[in-house]
Amino acid sequence: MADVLDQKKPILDIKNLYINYKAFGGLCYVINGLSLQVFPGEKIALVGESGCGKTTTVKSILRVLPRQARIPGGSILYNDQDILKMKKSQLNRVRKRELSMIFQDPTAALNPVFTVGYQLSDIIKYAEIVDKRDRNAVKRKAVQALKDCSMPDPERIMENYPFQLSGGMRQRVCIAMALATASNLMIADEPTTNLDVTIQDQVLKLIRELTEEKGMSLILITHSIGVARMMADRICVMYAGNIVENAKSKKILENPLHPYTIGLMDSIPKLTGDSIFSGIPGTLPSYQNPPPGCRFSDRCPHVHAPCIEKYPPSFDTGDGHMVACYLYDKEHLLLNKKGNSEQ
Amino acid sequence: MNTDVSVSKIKINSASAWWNSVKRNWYMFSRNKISVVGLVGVILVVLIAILPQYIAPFPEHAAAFTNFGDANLPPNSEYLLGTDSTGRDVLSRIIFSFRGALTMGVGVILIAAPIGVIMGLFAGYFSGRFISSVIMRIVDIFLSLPSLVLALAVSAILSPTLFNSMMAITVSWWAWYARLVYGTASSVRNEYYVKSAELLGASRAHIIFREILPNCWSVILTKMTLDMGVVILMGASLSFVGLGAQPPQPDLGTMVSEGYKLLPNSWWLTIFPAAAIMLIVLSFNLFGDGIGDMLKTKEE
Amino acid sequence: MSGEIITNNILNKHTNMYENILEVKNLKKYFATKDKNLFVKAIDDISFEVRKNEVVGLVGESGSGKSTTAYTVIGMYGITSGEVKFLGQDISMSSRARPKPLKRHMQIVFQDPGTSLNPQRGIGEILSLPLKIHKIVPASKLEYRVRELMELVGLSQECYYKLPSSLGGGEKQLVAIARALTTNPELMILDEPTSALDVSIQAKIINILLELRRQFNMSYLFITHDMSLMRNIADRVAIMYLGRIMEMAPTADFFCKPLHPYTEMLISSIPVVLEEEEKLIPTRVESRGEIPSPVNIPAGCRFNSRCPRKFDLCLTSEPQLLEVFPDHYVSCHIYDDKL
Repeated sequence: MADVLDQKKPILDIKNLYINYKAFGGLCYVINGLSLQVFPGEKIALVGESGCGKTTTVKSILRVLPRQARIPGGSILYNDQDILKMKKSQLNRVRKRELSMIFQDPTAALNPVFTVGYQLSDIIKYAEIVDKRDRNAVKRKAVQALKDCSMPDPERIMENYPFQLSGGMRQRVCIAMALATASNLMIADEPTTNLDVTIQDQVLKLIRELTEEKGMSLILITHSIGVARMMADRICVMYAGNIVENAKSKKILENPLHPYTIGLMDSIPKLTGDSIFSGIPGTLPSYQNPPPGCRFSDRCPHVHAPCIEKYPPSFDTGDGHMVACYLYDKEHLLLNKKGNSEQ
Repeated sequence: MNTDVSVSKIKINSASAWWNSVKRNWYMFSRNKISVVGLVGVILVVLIAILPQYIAPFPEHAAAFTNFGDANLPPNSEYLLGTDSTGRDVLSRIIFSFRGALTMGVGVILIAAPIGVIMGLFAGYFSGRFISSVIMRIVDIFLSLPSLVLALAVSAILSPTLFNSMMAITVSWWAWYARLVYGTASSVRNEYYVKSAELLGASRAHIIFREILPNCWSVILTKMTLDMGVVILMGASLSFVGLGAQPPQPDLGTMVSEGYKLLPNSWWLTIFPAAAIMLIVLSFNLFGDGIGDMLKTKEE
Repeated sequence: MSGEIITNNILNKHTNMYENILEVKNLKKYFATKDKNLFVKAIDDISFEVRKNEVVGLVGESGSGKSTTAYTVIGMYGITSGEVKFLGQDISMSSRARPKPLKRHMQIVFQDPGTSLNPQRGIGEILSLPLKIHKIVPASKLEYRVRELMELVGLSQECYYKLPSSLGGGEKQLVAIARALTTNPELMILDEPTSALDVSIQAKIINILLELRRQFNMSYLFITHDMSLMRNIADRVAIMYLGRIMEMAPTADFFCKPLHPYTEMLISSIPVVLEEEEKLIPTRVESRGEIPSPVNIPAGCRFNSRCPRKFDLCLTSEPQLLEVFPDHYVSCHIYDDKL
């Protein structure tokens, strides 16, 4: 359980991960040396727009990437063991009891021809948390899981089929399934994108409450920075296969440093009513022919010579605020004052 | 904006855009090597059908020719596939019969397909309304007619010729196209781009032929290529029972039925025509599968 | 041909005469179900107007009826009862029955750019269709006009021969906007035009939409569930719930002084990004419950199953949409005594 884990060591340590996809026309170099650490009990948000590689990254943690994926380099350490090198039996044990994932579309994640109770019990039995043969214990655990998710009348829900439930309820069932068996790390891939905003509020608060109660770590994928702010201690901004900025939520929102993050924050409509809707010129680079240097260089207003040559390492600008941008390279001082860059 | 310069630049672009899409289609088609085999087979079949007189070693044997001295010879160096009971070269007769087989296939499909497609489009466009149900019930009736039995009946009433058996198959064949296109058209009909065109004020004809039909082409083309094999096989079955091309016109089905009585002694008279039928049908099937896969992956 | 000219002239005259481009009064749209006695009450008595040169925002969650409202106005359905007038003309019938010249003056942009463009037709063909239908330019000038439009919305000229599948989501939506613009409409209905797009692309599209509106003096009926977006583009906002308008007010009033508990709930649920936005949220109402099915609308006020401030009257009597402050309408019993 979580309290046994060392609070100072990361529970998940992704080191220099490279992932390619085989596609018609060649290889797509999607993930480009990504590194990420998640500590026990920490909630991080992986924020990025479509096509930046966030789903690919988390799918690699559970090793559920599609056939065409190749992992030429890097490691994913879970409790000091490399998931990429684990044997099937060990991996299954980790998947059963320690890691879990919630997906974007709860309708697709639930089997339409089985009742909710059947699917929940199935998972509980598979995870071997209680004695398989003791049907009452399995049923009690399932009902308890639903109760924990604030489902009204859990016994009746057990008998229902997914199509009889609303979108919010289905997602709660998926959360119940994930929490019934996982103990250490929960990955949620855009869990509320398909839900109404009031239901989104309820479901997100539920996820936050339950993971905090159990001391679990959370990796939340979202394209909404507002959702990230609400849920996460730490926000990681992804662009084209790399994490370009990684900092505590408050810091990154008050003071975004990477030009992409700044562009993103400027594009978001604000309740203050003075949004500028600047947008970011250009589009994502081709993954088949990615630029050798920084992948944001062709859209960046502050692009310099070093940006095009080599991919920038992550620079620490203080208090754990990491930015992968040469503007913050203290040794080469491209940035003399905030906002003014020198050639 | 300088229109003249940009227009000419753009005209070039449209030609190169078309060539690019041809290249891309070929890439997708040729990924499956077996489909390419099918394509090669189809090309050969078509060539043989168009120019039999240049390929067959004994073109005159295709007509009423007798040479009883060389009758019933097994395959040898002069007559590669042997000779039949009147001394005609089996290989040459097989080559000349390709034309009749292809005519059967092309004829039926070129008549059945347009009729079926138009019926299917109308039924799909009006899907949910009374007229659509009427059309589809008529389609159901025609689908339940057994083509072969109908052909037999037609040939019994009229004279047994290639043309008549073609007509007999066409009578029920169009209904398959109608049903296929109805399925696609009725789902396309509810798409937002069709609704957009309607809201803009487009005429019914435009919606049916310029918005819905282009989205049905892939299923239609796939079916047409796959149908070639099936119809040719049907044609051979009809001529096997004597309802196709009449002698002395060479026909694969007729050759099989004549040689069938002489099995197992003059085995070459049955086996080779039957193998030819199989190869033609197989080529079209492989080619058709390849087309189907190519069009399906295009949509994905 | 002459009939068209006459109708066009009448419409032009009307445009100048009428303050209200679109008037909706007591509109109801019910859909039949297999059960003869049950209806899906998608729109259940709404009234609002869209004035000249303004952006009216329609906000609400799924099942609120906002998309159905858009589709009814544009003519995908006929109405069940009530009155819908566009430029003074009755448009209660579906699009097919409407006079052709009228279709030029109102256009719609759909939510999903992937399905609103025919995948088998090139961009040039898609954009020339409305020009051809309404004979806006002679055939020789078609390509020129299409290219002008593409330039206007910021599409690169090489898209002309491309198929929609080779364009990105943002570009496809620009094509849909250009298509709506071809006939120079007075009113554009935009049904969640950017909900399917990334935020950086959304910003670009919103910029273009605002610029176009300014340039061509159009009115927008803008539908979205994104409240922060609404705050920045709408002049007046109406919030819908289960087929009725719960509150309608000028934007600033709507966000700073919301009256209806549902409005408060929705504003409280917005995942804001900045501290200063947090401070702008007036009252915090915790979101609870879920929207009932539109087949089975609760008796009394339809929001009573989720309302934190309900009392006895709310369970028996449905409140009417009443003007409580100048141009600020709300449908809630709490304000009954304000009259």
